[in-house]
Amino acid sequence: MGLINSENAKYLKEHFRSFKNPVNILYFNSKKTNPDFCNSTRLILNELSSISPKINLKIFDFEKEKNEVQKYNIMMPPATVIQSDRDIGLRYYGIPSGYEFSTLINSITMVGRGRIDISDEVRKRSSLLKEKVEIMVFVTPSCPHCPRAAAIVHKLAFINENIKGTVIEANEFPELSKEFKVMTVPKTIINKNHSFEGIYRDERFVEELIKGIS
Amino acid sequence: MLDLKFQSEGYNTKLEERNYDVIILGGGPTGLTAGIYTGRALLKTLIIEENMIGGEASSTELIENYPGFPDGISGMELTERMKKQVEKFGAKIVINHTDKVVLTSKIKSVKTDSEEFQSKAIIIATGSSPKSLNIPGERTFKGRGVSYCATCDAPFFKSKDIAVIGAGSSGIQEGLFLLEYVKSIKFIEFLPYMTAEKILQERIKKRENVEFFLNHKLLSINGDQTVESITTENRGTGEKRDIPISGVFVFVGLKPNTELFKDSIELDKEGFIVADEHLRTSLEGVFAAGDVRKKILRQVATAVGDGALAAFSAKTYLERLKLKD
Repeated sequence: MGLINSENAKYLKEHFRSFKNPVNILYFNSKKTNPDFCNSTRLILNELSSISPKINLKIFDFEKEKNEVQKYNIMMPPATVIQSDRDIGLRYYGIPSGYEFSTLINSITMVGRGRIDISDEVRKRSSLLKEKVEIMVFVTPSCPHCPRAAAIVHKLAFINENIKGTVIEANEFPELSKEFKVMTVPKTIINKNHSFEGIYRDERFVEELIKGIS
Repeated sequence: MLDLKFQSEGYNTKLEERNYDVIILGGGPTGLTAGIYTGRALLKTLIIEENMIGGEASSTELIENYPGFPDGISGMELTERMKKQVEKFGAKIVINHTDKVVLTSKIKSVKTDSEEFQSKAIIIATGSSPKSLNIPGERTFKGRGVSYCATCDAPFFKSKDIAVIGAGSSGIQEGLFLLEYVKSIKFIEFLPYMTAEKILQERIKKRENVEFFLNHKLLSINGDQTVESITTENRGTGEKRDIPISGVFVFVGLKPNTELFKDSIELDKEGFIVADEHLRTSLEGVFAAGDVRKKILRQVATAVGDGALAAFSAKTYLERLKLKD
């Protein structure tokens, strides 16, 4: 048996079949930096892409393929970019394991279906943001609430190309977690200065986002 | 071996159908069980969950006292199975915030952030949430040393001395999990004795790096940027003490998720819904089941029993309603 158990693999195969668009996963791997985390991430993504022809995986070497690293503004490996035919600002740093496997599947699903279900109000308010925003959300694989926080961040990035949605597995990047004083997850950081902890409803999240920008 | 946990549902799924026989508020073990029973009764069923399918139970690392799983089962796996079972029998599930409910009329309505649904019967299974302490320092240090989720935040307290507030089953169970990461735990319990299941008490007492402060009241959480100490008071002697620690995990019981219903349904003084032996509330066609109702034991085992009973009562109510019409 692989990492994805047969029951989930069967479900996902069927689930991916309904996708309107192919999903392109760009994965930045390394044999030098965080090699164990990279290896696990690579195995998960390889298995996922083998489940469905609609999931395309392209692997880059973080140390060697500097042009791609720069183009996608990759901070560190393991890094996963989930996109349709173009970069829509979705990033995942770390192994998408534990509860975070749901985050990966949710984001793939969003791109594959080419749509998200979100209230009209949230869609309208987040579409109005004209300046560039980076939302980082720190998560851990053992946090059952975190996929909800990661989902809203990726949804907003999907709606508005000015928003970049970055999910970071806090345990695997202790320096970054220390820099942003992460002691609980999910913790969301807007433009590296405004932060809040816990799960917020979509409406309130957008309010915090606007507060963070201004 | 990596553990990949997967919930087979996106968020905010939109539904075409607006009218249901039964709307179940809450997708924890109670709501899911109710949905299995109403589904099998061929009642058109909608389950509306606020956060996570499986509710609080889905975040439990290991459930050891639910029958049928001699080696225990993770909360997420158990509730994921329940979810598949409920879907098999036709119930629809939406994950969205419920904004408003109108329960007093014959046709009940439930408004979420993006949609409005109607039904003839409602089962309230909104459960309960962890209580806060309401003491100085708690809010200030939330996310800076004060946590309510051991599984989420344990890695941030690796090799640190911490306190766990509450020595009930949740406190001890989460404490046992935290011991995989932290250096030591001081358990602070208001009562003069532990209320945790005896098997959990035995397990924790075998550990070396734990200390118990029974009959102690937590007065404040102190620090500068992050938590540095707590102040406790011995309820017997009145002696106050500052205990240096770097983290505080709070497990002091549950508060009911009844904000939406507080003006329309009879609640007890703690805010739990009062229901009779058929799980009928003070409003016709509205039933309450699981952790949200006044009861003496809140476990997955009691939740599923409540779910089945509430579904049966809702079915009986709908049959009578049909006869009257």
